[in-house]
Amino acid sequence: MTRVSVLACLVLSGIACTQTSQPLIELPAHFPEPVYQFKGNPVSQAGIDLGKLLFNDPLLSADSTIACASCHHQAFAFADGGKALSTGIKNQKGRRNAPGIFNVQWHPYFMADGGVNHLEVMPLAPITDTLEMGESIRQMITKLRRSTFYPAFFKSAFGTDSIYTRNVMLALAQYMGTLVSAHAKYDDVLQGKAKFTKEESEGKKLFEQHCATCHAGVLFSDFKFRSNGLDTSFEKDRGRARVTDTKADEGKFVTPSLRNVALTAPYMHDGRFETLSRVLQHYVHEIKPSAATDSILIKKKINLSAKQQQAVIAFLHTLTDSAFITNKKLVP
Amino acid sequence: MQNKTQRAAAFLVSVIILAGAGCKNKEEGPVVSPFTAKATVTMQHVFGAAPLVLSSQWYVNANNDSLRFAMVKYYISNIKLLSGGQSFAIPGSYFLIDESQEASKTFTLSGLPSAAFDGIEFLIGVDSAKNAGGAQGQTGALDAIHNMYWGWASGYVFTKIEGYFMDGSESGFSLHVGGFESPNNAIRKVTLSFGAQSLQATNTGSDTLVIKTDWSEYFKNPVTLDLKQINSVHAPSAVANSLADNYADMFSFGEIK
Repeated sequence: MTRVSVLACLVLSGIACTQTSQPLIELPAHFPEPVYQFKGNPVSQAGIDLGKLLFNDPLLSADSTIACASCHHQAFAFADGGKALSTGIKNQKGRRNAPGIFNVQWHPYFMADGGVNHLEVMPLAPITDTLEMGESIRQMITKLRRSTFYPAFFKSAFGTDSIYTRNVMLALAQYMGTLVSAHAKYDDVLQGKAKFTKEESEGKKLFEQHCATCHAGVLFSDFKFRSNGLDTSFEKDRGRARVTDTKADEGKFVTPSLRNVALTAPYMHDGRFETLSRVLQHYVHEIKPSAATDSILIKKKINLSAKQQQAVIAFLHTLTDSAFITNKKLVP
Repeated sequence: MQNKTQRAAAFLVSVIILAGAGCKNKEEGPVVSPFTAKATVTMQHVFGAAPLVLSSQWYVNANNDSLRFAMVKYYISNIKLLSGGQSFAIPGSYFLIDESQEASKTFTLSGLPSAAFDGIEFLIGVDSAKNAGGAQGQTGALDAIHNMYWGWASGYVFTKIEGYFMDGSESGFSLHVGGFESPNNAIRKVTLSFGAQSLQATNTGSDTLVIKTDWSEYFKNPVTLDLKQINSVHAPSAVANSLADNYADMFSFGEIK
């Protein structure tokens, strides 16, 4: 690469710029424009490496037992492999099911209730949650500053070995930004590189008829807050209302992406359903009508035979991205 | 002493002349003020007629509850100095005041034009942009290290008071107010006039503005707070909003010295 093109590359884009033509963070051609574009947080290999180190370091928790990676495993698309609720420090159970982590730069907000408004501050939630990592930011920074090796990592990522909250968060955002999942069979079919089986095709048609209003687009979410008829009272978890203190938001949760959904069981905000067929059963037979329940589920009943449900599940399996869960670059 | 019109004219001239010198770079990086004068601000905390003292001192609020404070922390930000109807916004003015840290109660406003000011305007809390702007603005007073940030509902805690009240025996209260989005927007704007006095910004910052903060106002007007009913607030909410309405008028002009 010539000096001029390197410069142009640096000026034009913090995202897709490396020594080689391979961008540090993939921007799949069939995805929309990301919400978070690393503005003011130019991505570098050193920044990604630091973020990866932090993500996997239990030092970030109060008793140095729980890392981000303790509940977000690559094999499960960075969800917590079969656990309804994850275990935090002092053997405590969390409030909600740990979601997978991928394609985060396309999310307008985070957490099932949308309480976190920006990718760069996402880690502050689990780090300070007393049930999860339970650490104060001051103590976390003190521990990082005391470490013998972190200062050098910060120096190469940010040009200074002074460690502040800001740079910890920016590095974590860079690393999480590398967790792009866009190479499932579904994507290959979109790009003409593979073909659906007959059952998958049938499933896709049914999915588009019955599910795609909410699980919309290539990200498989409209990122809206909705109540999907699981409950009729919400004392146990107010959902979006926990953040907004607004009656109309009681029991609403953000539509989750369905990419890698076959890997991220169990399902729903509290992990109450163990399998995809159990989830389908809910949508077909068990929607509980209430003032909160999204009208679309009441107006337009999801009427699917057992065979059709199987087809939908077959289609959902085409959203599994094997390359993503085996990419060694994404883990230490 | 100059009259108000003269003051305003002098202020405007100095701002116009100097503004061209340093306000550039619309893209990124902190805005550097072309001005070099300074002034000092001191926050004076009281509860009614008595000085505010943490831990040991008991007070009685409007609801007749006896209480004592263990912690009093709050942000003031987006400070503007006023002069004859004109205003001068101080870039990057974010201050975390902590009653337990004496030094935090006095701070310097720098980058000011050498003018005489007759009033001040500021926010109690932190503006929406910083609440929604991710980690990049989290430096200095806005660093999450100060434990004035909600991780689970992104945004700053604007005011944080904790302590004890008598409810038969001693009971704890912990009231954390924040929230920047409608309908639970707890940002409040304060405007204070210095009356006949003026704050002269100089290169030494020798003039000190004393702002009085009366914490008894937290507990009344428009809503008389009953600590037996409400003693734990930790999220943006309708209750937090009404507390912000209560304390919005707790600041008053003390003196210039």
